[in-house]
Amino acid sequence: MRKSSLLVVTIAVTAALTLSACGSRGGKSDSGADNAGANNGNGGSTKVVIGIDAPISGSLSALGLGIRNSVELATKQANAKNYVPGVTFSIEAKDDQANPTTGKQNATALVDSKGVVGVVGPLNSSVSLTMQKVFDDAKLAQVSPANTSPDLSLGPDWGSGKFTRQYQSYFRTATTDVVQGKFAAQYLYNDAKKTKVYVIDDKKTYGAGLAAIFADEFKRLGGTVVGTDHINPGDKDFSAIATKVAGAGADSVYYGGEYPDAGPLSDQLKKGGAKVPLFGGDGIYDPEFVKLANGNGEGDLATSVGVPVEELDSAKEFVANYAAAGYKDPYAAYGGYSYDAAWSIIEAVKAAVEHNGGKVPSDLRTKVLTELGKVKFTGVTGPVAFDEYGDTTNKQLTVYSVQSGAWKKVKSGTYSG
Amino acid sequence: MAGERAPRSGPGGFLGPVEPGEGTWAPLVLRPAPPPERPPRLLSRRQKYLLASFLLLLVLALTVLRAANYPEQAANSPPPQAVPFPSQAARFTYVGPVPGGPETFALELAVHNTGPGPLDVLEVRQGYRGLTVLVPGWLPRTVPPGGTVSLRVDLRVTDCSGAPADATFPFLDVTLRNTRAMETVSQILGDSYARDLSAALHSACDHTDNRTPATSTETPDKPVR
Repeated sequence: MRKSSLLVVTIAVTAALTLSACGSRGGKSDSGADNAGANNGNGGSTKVVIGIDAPISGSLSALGLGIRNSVELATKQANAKNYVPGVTFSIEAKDDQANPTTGKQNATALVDSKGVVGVVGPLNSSVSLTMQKVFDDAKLAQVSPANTSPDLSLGPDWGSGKFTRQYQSYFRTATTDVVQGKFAAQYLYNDAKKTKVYVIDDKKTYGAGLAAIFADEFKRLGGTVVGTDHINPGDKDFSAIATKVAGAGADSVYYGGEYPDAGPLSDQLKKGGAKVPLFGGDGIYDPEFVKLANGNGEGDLATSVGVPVEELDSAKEFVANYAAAGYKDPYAAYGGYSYDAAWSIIEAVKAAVEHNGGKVPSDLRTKVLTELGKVKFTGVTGPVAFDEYGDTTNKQLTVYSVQSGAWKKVKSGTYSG
Repeated sequence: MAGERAPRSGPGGFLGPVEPGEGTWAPLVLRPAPPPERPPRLLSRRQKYLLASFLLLLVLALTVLRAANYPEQAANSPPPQAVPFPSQAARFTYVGPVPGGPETFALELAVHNTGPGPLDVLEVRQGYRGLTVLVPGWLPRTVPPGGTVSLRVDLRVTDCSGAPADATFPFLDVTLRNTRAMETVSQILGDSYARDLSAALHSACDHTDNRTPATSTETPDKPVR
């Protein structure tokens, strides 16, 4: 009898607590559920297209596919939430194959596609250089999730402290090589205690620029650049460079370039007797690098934009939704930044519609460009906003190291200047 | 011979105790006090089980209803008020230089906590071999939720050869802790900090032999925990 009384009291208390919890949470959710639910019956009528340019095929497709899929996911989420009443988003993806000429052709095609109100991409800084003017002439907003060359936003004289915004249509969600290259130099000299570095680059806008920024800061810190060299993208034989590195007495190698060349370079450096870590930028931060290094990448280092996804609560929903969407290819290094780039365009469309009495303005492209510089929201990668040069205000990056055949976080940094 | 005579019973004899009759006797037992009268029962056992079952079903129904209404919350692992990682909750601002001692560059660092729980600053370090860090006062220092704490950080030159004056990207390594994790994060404080530190290092080291320690290297970093 006593047991049954206890059971009744326990259940009654549980029920009361449950009712109370449901009541309070329900109230909060109702007030915070934005207006998506209220507008569910208002089916999208105006089709708005977000263009994408990325290397969807070729050696960098692992990164490019992650960009394309993540942008598509953002449009699907916006449609599912009816985030901009009266608007249905879709994508138009172009493959630049990491080729600047192809990128320029894609930019022209996207400008000619009347439904496109903004473009996410490209991956490569060198490709972006050929696209920027095309977009700017057409007042079509461009948000790159991966370009890191400072020239693109700050102009060619940024190194001397003279910042000049090149194109009003250019924005990016990735931080620049100014932060990345210098942070890498500080890490290698102060933390890894390396003092003699051999610097190699692939002669491309991104690789050569990043390597130069790194080398300058490394020397300022008191380190020595014991040798420099260049490779051609697509080269297969790096044995001559490996011999030079081994003979130079370097205790480390810094490489400005991308993983299709960096992986085999790391492999051949070790085989050639230069058993020192290879350090690179976000261009080598991909599982493909580890594979291409053929087991000789252990201990190699890379910086990459942002902090690991598992440290960002804001990224958990993106990760879950990406998995639920069933994409075959991973979102890779720039997935979160691509989603945020697409969402910044969606936010700009939303603002343009709201400022036009709830109707889609006829000059939506121009309006999106105006609104884009003012967007501010919490995205997958944290707070998203742009400064006066179109650069992201969220400047975080992380040093990773290859450990047991996979990239592992070593250290994160936040730029708050 | 005189013998005891058996007592006589029957009329004319003494009266003994009244014996129970055949088949009517009972052993003597001490009887406890009668229990107090219980109030009448409101619910029978069966009724209680019925009520319990009803309430259980009610709880289950409400739980299912809630999960159906808020599927994303039911599916997501983090609670709405999850404490973020320390690196995501902290915002650092270089306020500027403050007066320091000889061969010491002193600065004010503001630490803002954007998270919902307290954040501890456990340690402040930097990478230059020729500088030591001292945080006057004490560490750890707790930054309340939504609050800001100002730290004074002293960078003391111990070896000019290990204190590069022209580096453009110096940072401080700050170890933070909250209820979720403990992390060391590099705080890159920007151009103003780089300029001020550079000026201080030139001031401390330019007039000396660049390879000669400006001061004794024996002063260790202050223990911070």
